[in-house]
Amino acid sequence: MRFIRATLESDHSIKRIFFYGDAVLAANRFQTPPQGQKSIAQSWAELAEEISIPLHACIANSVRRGIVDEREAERYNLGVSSIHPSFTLTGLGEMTEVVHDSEKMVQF
Amino acid sequence: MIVHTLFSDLPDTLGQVLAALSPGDVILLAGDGCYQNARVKQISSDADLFMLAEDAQVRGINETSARLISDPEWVTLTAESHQVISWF
Repeated sequence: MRFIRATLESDHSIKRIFFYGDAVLAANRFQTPPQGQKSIAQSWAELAEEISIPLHACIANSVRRGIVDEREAERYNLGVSSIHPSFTLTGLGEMTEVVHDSEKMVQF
Repeated sequence: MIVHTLFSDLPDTLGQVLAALSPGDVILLAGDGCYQNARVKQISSDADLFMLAEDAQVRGINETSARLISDPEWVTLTAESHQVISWF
């Protein structure tokens, strides 16, 4: 998040924030932190709203970790979606396309 | 110039970074990678060494031969590089 903020305060821009591997767990809307603490999903959601940059989670990595939207919940008979509404499930094709259109990809 | 951002405090990962270095590349210590500080100092390498100032500070790392950089300088270093490779 520090890099993102510093980037946007410079004359550079960010096209997408892509969550991959265990990072997709940040998209779990059922995170229930102790009182007085904010969930990671909420922190990302607030940042995304502030900077208007889409948050994308890898669909394959997400589904295997129980992070599903309504469509995937229905497909796998899970009953309810578990993804925070600020996140979108997308495939590697989308990521490849954005990487192609970007000057750089930075991984954390 | 490639920026090798090292997030890991494991000796093996530092070894992998050193093996992958080309002339002109730089190493950036970030997160727990800052704990490589003492190890990196003992290894002779031509690569320029940077460390995120905030990450070093929260880990109590005061003495370093690395150049401490701010987050805006981190962005500039990234922008000036040809590529960034992250090591975990």
